[in-house]
Amino acid sequence: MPRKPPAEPIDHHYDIPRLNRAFTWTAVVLTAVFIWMVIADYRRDWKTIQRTFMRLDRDLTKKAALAAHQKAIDKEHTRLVADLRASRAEIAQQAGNLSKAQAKLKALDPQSYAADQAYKFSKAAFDAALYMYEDALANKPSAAPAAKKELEAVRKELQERTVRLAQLKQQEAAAQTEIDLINARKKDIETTIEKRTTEFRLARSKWVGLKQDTLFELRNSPILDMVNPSLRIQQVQLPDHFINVNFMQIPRVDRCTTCHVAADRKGFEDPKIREVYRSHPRMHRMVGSESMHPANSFGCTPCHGGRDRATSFWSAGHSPENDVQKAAWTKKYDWEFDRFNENPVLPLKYAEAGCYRCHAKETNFREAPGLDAGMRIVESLGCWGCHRIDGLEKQHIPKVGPSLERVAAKVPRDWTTRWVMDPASFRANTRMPTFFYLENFVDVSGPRKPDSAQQKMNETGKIENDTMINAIVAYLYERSRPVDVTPVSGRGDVARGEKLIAERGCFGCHEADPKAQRDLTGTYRQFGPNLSGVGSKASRDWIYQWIRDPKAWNPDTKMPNLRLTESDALDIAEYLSTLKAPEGFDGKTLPKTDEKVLESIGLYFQMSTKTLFDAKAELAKMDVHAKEVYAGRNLIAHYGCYACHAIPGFEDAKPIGTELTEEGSKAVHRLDFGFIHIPHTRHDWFRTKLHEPRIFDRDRARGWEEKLRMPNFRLSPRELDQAVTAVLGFQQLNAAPSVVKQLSPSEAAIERGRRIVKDHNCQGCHVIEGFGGSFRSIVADTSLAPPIIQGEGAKVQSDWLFGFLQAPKTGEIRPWLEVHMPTFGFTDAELNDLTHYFASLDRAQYPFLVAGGAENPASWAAGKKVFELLKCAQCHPRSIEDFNRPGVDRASLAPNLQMAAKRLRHDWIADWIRRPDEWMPGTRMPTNFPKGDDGHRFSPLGQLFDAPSFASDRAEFARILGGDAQAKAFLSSPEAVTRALGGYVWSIGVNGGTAPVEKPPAPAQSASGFAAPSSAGRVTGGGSPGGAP
Amino acid sequence: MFIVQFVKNAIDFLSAPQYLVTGALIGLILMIHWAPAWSKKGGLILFALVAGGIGLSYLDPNFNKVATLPDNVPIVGMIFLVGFFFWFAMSQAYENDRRIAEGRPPIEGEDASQKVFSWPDLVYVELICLVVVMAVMIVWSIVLKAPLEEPANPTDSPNPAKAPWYFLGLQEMLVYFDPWLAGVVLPSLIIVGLMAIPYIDTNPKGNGYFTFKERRWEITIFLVGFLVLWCVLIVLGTFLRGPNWNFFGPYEFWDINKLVPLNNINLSEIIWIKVFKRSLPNFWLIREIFGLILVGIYVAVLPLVFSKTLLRRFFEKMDMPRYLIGVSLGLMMMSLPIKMYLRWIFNLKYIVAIPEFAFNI
Repeated sequence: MPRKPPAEPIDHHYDIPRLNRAFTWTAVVLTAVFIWMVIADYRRDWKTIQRTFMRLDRDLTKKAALAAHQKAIDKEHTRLVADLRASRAEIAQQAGNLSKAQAKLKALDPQSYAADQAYKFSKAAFDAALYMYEDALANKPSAAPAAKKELEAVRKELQERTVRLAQLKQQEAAAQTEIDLINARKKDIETTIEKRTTEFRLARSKWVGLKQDTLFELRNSPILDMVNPSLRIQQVQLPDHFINVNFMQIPRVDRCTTCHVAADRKGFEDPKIREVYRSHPRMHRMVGSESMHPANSFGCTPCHGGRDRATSFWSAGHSPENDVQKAAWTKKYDWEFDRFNENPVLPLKYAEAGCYRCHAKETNFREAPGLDAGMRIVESLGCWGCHRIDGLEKQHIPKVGPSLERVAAKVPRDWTTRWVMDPASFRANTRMPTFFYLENFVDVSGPRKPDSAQQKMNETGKIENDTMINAIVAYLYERSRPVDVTPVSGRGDVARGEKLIAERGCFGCHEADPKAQRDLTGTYRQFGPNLSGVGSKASRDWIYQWIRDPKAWNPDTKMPNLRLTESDALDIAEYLSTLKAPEGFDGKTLPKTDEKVLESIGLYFQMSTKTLFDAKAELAKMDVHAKEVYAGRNLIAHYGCYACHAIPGFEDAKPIGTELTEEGSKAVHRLDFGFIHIPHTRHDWFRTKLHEPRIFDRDRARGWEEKLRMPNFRLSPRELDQAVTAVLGFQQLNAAPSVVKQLSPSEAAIERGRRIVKDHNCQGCHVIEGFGGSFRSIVADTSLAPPIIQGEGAKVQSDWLFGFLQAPKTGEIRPWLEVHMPTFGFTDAELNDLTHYFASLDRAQYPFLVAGGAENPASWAAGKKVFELLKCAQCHPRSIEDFNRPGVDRASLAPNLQMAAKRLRHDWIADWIRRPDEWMPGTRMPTNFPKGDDGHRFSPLGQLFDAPSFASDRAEFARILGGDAQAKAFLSSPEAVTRALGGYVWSIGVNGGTAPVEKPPAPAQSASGFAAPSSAGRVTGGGSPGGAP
Repeated sequence: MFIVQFVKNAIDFLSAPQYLVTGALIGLILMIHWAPAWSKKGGLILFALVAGGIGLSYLDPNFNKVATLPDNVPIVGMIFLVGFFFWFAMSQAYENDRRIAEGRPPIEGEDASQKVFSWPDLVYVELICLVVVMAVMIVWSIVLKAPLEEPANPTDSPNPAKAPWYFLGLQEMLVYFDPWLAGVVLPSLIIVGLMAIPYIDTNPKGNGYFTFKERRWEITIFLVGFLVLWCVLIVLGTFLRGPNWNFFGPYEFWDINKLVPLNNINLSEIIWIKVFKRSLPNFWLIREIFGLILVGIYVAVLPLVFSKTLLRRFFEKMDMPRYLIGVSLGLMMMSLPIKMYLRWIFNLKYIVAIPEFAFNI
């Protein structure tokens, strides 16, 4: 029942029309705000980026489609189309037959359907009847006959229906065949056309699909895009690469390809394409599905860092390369520093740091040159000496600095003092860093003008440093082991010495140019110290003693023995002693010890174990010299000199620096930025620190004992980039073992060998694994240079190599060489590792090998003849006498073949002769069996066979091999010829090339009566036959 | 400009907790008795001062960094909201007091006898408010997004680690009180006290209309407890407490390395070591006897003393239970500023320190 409306007018508390207006306007505002919310929610930068990419993709697809169209629609296509029209006309002529056949087929269809159904029903009924019968047989024998009758009836019906069905099917097949025959030719042509236009059609349909039409917009509009959007987040889940938040591991979910759409697709390499849309460089190494790091199991962030789940430019943590890019990004993307992101994307110049996490067990990083250089810097500058790095500690790299155990016997004390003050003033490219007079003690080069307070600090700092230097040197000279330097009589020839240094191979590890810049990564000739100025440092007699046998002075030295003769060594020592220090070094004022400062230094160290009064009492017992030695010892412990130098009293001392094993994963807030205003990122801090390690002491008021201690390595900007890359690579692994590089046993052998090669600077002289050989570039004639080591494992017998590396003999293989392969004094373990290394590189058998077999006498003789024909002896001496014959051009000589049987692997010899250009590109060994047009090698001797000038040789070959045909077959086969040659060369080493190598006598019958197994040859093991190599 | 820097330094200095709380207390007591503040003109001037002050402060980079954090924007809003409703209530109260003095009914009494429909007079206005609030919330949520940081790392706690705004008052109390008191006892008493107000407050005046003169004590006590001991502490905790819970003025840079000596001393140490020059007794009862006596006097004796002197009027109006509960709650409330002053003036840490039971006052 409707209520009565109240009497008008109603008395309201508020002005209702006003409220109505208020409500209207606020409702309008709310609606607008709601629409704004929907838009803001659906607007995403990545959608715009994907749209733009679709347009780019569409343009490129169109180009590809046009190109494919050009290729497909040619004369052949026109012909095919014409044929198609003709075949269609033919079919039209047979229209009657075709329609009749089609009608028949159509009529048969319902019949066969019914027949099929009837058959199926019958089959079912039969199965049931069979069951009933069997059941009756088993349980109700009386009912069996009736059941059997039923069964038979149903069986008959089934048979009839089966036949009927088969008949109908056959009729259908016949009709279909008729139709197919008529249409056959048309179908063939259509298939051919289809195949030829596939590329074009695919490109075209892709082009169509990339159109952003109405359907596309609808698909991606708000609400509707929940069904199946085309603009969507692309992600790859990486449970094997997890994020470690301590006590929990979160799987990574990389969404980078949402914006970097084409990163894992080929075809977008053009540098004109916007960077975000470009394909990843070197996809065969990374990201490509055929590479070792496919995108769907490695993603992006495990290598590049960044926030994996981010879907916007800023949130992902992209880091600008430099200030210019930072300004550009701030303007374009409203970029700002994200202080909450502990792991932003590594700047591109440090991107290789991401490799180290999984490849830490490897020695070289040839594919990542920045990281490789950085690790070389870390290893050769000795960072690992003060800062423990777990992976490098296990490598047992020798200390980078020379031993100071006998320094008093070698170097004058004043020289040492001046050196410690400023190493670079003596040797510009030294690896020793500067410890003293740095900015936290004597800041004269800082950004602020030295005011009086700063002046005072500088003065104090200088006095402190002066005293410290004197104390350290005092300790070193007090504890230096007394050793006598034997004086040498006679004078050497300085000019000859200068020549010898270049000839003997010293320059494989040393330079002698005072102006040389430090280059730890581009050259291998800075392994040992720069020799300029050595005459000011050590006496001639010491130098002589040293180069004659370095290990006699210091058993742990890296310098090998070059087996110099006495006169050679004297000449070299004489020459080296003429190289004096740069100007100003020898005259530099020596620092003075301030006794008060010395006392306070001593007191500080004493008070670490004593009370103030006991400390003072202890110090009062010491005279100035004793105080200096005491302070020196403690200062060496304070500054960690023993990290690089072996120092008496510090044999077991521990590193003083922060452990760097996981420095690249360190939380940024644990880095002390002090008062320096740099962005709060790891890489900025590392770079600043490495550039000037004491910088974070700026504006701090600290005593010397609390000041930063890391010395300044004087790194160039490029070295800084590389070193920072390396340190950034020292990260927590945070990856399952299945995705980390695991070394197989042979790969581990290779890595062990590489480590020895790196630690002994083999690449100073030799090109090994394709790089190195710095010495070769300063030799005028490369034939006088140390050989390139390539395929050594497949080439030489491992036991020979073992012996050779243990004790190389000058002039055995290449007698014309002036340069000496040094004796390194490898341990057994190192020798085994090295031989295993070379063998593993070439996947050669290791360690034991059945050496060469018996030679067929005919083959041997033929080989000898070919040897003479090809004039091999012209370059290859067969004995020392050959080498010393007058008129021999040394530059064209090749290795001594007398060594072949002892040194080379039997089967390798033939292979080498067949294809030396493949084994060693650039070799001077001629390619006697070049590749023909068909890509296979042929023997020119075979072609020569019928030439008249060859007649006598032909006869000879026929005689040896038993006929012309055999001779021709022999000479035309590179395999046969090289096998014969190999057999002859082998015999040179066994018996001087006088007779084929015989089958060795069969071993004696064993006592048990079993026949001993026949062996084709002898087994070579630790020793080799015929005596020591 | 030098003058600007001088003003900023002055504000930085005066924002220290001791001056801030003292200033707020004295300021509050004075202001609620000063009629010109509660006129419309007065309100506008107050608003202009606060808004202008805060607005100009946004020009300072350090203040800006803190005050534009999405978490802190509501607190800035709170300052204005609480300020407005405080001013509105007081201005209405003063107006009503004027009217009552003239013999007229209060503002709310004008149309009190009249009856109106809930729709539209009650609910329509609420609907419009709803719409407005919805629009404001949506705009706010679009413009100021909630900050998403990294997954929580147990070994890397943020510094400072601040409680949500509604607990910042309690977090500030933790500076002065033992966690048992600051975190359990006093918050419980706050809640219990708020619940108990209707049963203690026997003043029949002020039902349904604002008034100040008729409810001076009640309003003063509440405003001290709410504005000074709660809202001011929230503002202090939001803007003036930085890393390591150090005090930083509004224009000061939040330096994580700032070190302030916290050389606070217990009452027992003052009395035994400084005054008596003896070592601290081992047994806690003897050691803390002075503190315990003081606390005992404060809690047990003061109410009785007040009943005869300061609060005699109240004692006579209420009966014993009401009076005792009310005075106890009041004393508990005042223990916070008292402890604060003891800390600021005497560096007093604990009046009673019994680490054996982990109980300190």
